[in-house]
Amino acid sequence: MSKLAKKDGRNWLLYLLYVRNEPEECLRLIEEILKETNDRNDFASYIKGLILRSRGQIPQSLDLFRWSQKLNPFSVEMVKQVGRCLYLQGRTKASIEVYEEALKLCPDDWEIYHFKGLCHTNRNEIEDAMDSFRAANLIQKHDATFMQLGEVYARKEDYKSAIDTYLEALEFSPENPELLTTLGLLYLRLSENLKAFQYLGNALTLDATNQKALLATGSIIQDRSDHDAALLKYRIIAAHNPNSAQLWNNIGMCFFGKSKNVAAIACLKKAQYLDPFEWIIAYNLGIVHLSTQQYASSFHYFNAAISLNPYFATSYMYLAMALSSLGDIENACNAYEKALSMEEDFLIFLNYSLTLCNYGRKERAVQMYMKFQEIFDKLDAASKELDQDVQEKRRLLSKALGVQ
Amino acid sequence: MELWTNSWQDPVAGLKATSACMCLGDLKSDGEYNLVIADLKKKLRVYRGTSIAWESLLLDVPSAVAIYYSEIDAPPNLAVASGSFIFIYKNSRPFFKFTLPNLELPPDEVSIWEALKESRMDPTEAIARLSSLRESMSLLSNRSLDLLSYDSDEERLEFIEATKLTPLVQNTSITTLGVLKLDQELENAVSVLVIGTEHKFLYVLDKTGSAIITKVVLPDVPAFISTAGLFSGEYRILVACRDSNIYTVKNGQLMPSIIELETHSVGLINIDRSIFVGSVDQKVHCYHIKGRKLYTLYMPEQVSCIEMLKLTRARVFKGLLVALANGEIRLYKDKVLLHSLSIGETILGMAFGSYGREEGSLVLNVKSGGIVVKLIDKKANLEGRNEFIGPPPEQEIPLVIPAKSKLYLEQVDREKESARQMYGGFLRDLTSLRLRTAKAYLQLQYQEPTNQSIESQLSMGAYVQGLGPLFTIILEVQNQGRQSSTDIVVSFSYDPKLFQILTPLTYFPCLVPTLKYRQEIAVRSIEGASENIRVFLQNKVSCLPIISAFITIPGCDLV
Repeated sequence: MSKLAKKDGRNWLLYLLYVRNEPEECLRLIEEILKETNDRNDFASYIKGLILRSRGQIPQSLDLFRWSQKLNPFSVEMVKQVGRCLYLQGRTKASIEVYEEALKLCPDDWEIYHFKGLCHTNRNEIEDAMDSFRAANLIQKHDATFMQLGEVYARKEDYKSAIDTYLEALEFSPENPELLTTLGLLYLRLSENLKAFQYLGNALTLDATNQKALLATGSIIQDRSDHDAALLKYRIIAAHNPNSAQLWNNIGMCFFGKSKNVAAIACLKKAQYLDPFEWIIAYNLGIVHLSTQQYASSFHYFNAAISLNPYFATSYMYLAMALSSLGDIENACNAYEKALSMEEDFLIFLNYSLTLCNYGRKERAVQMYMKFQEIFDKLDAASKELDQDVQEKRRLLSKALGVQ
Repeated sequence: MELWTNSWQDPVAGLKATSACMCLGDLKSDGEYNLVIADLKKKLRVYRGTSIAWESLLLDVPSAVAIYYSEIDAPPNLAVASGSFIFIYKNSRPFFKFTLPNLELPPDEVSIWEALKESRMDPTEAIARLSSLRESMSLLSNRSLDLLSYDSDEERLEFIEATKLTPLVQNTSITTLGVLKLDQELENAVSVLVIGTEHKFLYVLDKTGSAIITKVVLPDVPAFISTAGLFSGEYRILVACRDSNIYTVKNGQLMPSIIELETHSVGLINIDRSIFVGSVDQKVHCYHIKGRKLYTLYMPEQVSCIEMLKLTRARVFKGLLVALANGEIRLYKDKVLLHSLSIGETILGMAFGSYGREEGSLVLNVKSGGIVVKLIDKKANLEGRNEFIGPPPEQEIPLVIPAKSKLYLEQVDREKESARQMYGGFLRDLTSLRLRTAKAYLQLQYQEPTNQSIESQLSMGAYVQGLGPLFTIILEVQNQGRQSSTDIVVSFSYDPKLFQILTPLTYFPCLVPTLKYRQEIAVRSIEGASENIRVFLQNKVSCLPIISAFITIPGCDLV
């Protein structure tokens, strides 16, 4: 009686060591067991596969799962793990086939549908993915499935369904900070700041150090010009993730809002150091330098921002302003024209007119002013009142140009 | 106010036990509660007060211990599960041993092995029949499963030869133990043992612990067991299995409702009508006993084990203890975090109950092998909600803003004054850079390769050896063409005031393709200056050199 009959006698210990995240000890025991049993213990190979996979050794873990599948051909678990490995290797088609095989063994397992959905998402087969996720949820609801389903809807730009999915998920598990944050960010994307703030706030009461939620909340607070409160939020993130470019970008703009320009530039430069290819940082640096009258630097930053992202009209407008301050009126006019070809915004017209007026090109300045008037008059009273500076500039300009 | 006070600790106890292998009980029925720990290194130890009451060695690694009463008004039994046995101790003495029945193997399998033993059956046929048996989902012995895993006939034969003489039995091992009350809800009421095995069985033993009264087949291997109700009335056995599902056995029947977790479970307990299950993804889920999800508690770290905290005062208080991988122990009442205590070391096992004469002791086995006993403060207010949780402490840490130097500020001022000139300079430089780039590009297009001649396809490498004033120039010439070249003369061009070439004449009579020819030329530096010497290879056909190279003779101190 052999060792053979008792070869799975320590499987319970393997399981315990694995779930308690003690991989070293677990692997030691596995090697011992595998040596004793001539590699014939499906559970030990399975656990070894799981550990190796979590360390990124996917091909080795795939071999182990295939081996345990051979030892125990009717276990759905092994088939699922083989599929998961294939998915992680990016062989999604093969993975889907494996999962379909698994469904024959066990037709009502939510996990199979969930992971099949993930494969479809990766292959951009949105409809199939949604079908799989819905099937998974029909068997039993899980937060992970809801999250994936919502993401698929968001990718399809069907934001309403995405929001509905997340709301349904929240009904099922109302205190998942991850769900709350995702929903908050989605609302933020749809510019529903109030709702976004509410959900992000809820997420933060549950998990006070959730970085995504903190950054989003901070930026909403910052939008309302409460820079000190936003900075307090950013402090928490800085303690956990000091190398986030987005974080330092936002901190920089907070200081800019508080007119601490040197600190603002220091923070923005740190952000740029962390992520040199993020256009918004270069754009913000341009704005801060423009306001400190460092026009030459400002010109360079806007230039950089435009070469990283040529589809943002306002960058061209600011570039034009920097150029006009540098005395390069020809290029400034070109930049204004480029900005206007992308977006007919009243601010661009106003600034263009101002520049032209400063350089004495009154005729064209009046033209631009008229266009500005046209758009500006259509705005409702509230947005007109929003920026006092525009009103002031308008008054001065109309006086200088002699038009009403 | 501190909730826990230190009772005693033994940092060098040298024990390693999980929660399943720790329990507290009044082993002698004298009101003095003992601590039982079954160590993974096959040692059973009972603590009484601050000392070891007795110790015993075990035959195999213990998987679980349990204390239960088999009769009213008598000391309880201590059950230790290890391998396929349950050892029952009474009054600190071994009482008896219960052996799990061997697996009932299908008669076909038995007859196949019988035939193999007597060499009545061809191995190939045996394998075909065993594999069809496996396909019909029969539970086979490990021996048959192993046989099926060999691919070649030689290996199979060898395996059959090696094993056929031993009798075919398949025992099973115990993975987890539970205790179910028989007919009363009292603490020392008569109870029965519930056993989970590696072959997916769940057994309930009778109160004497000698016979199986209920047997249930589970869909997967049980990892944790929790019980509710009374065996004689209505009861539920909750089983967390290795496939990360939680199954319910109600009155001996496996219920169709399954709780499916996203990841593996780490621990399972039930408090009244709620089930708490810790999962690998740093969560503790709470379900209603009928399977509906109630809520999830999110932990900052991996969950090590979970345990129920029960205090009997004017009112019975029941809370949830969660031990995390970073050594933190959290106390929850429903969703509210009441208290958090940090041990600073990973916790292997945890038990809560009475110890000594004190109710409300928390016994911990930490990773370094030590034992820590903490006592709950009797006057602590556990009913009230936790005081308002303020903003996280990180909020008080000021931001580290990169400093800017005075020089930077001066540069800023300079830029403010002369931005236009800077911009002008930049434009000018940009234009000139572009011009130079274009020129360089143009030049490249028309440039001849310098050290490789096209016609005769010779290549030359030259380098200098020596510290001076004597140097050696080493020339390596190779013919890369298909025809050999003849009469190649090496000549030099240099300033005779600075250098003197000592080798009179260098000459390659014939260069055969692909061979490498080497010549050494001695040079004396007269002034010790660093200057170039130009080397040419010439033949008699053309007046132009075939190839030329500059060699820089390094400067040296003349002695």
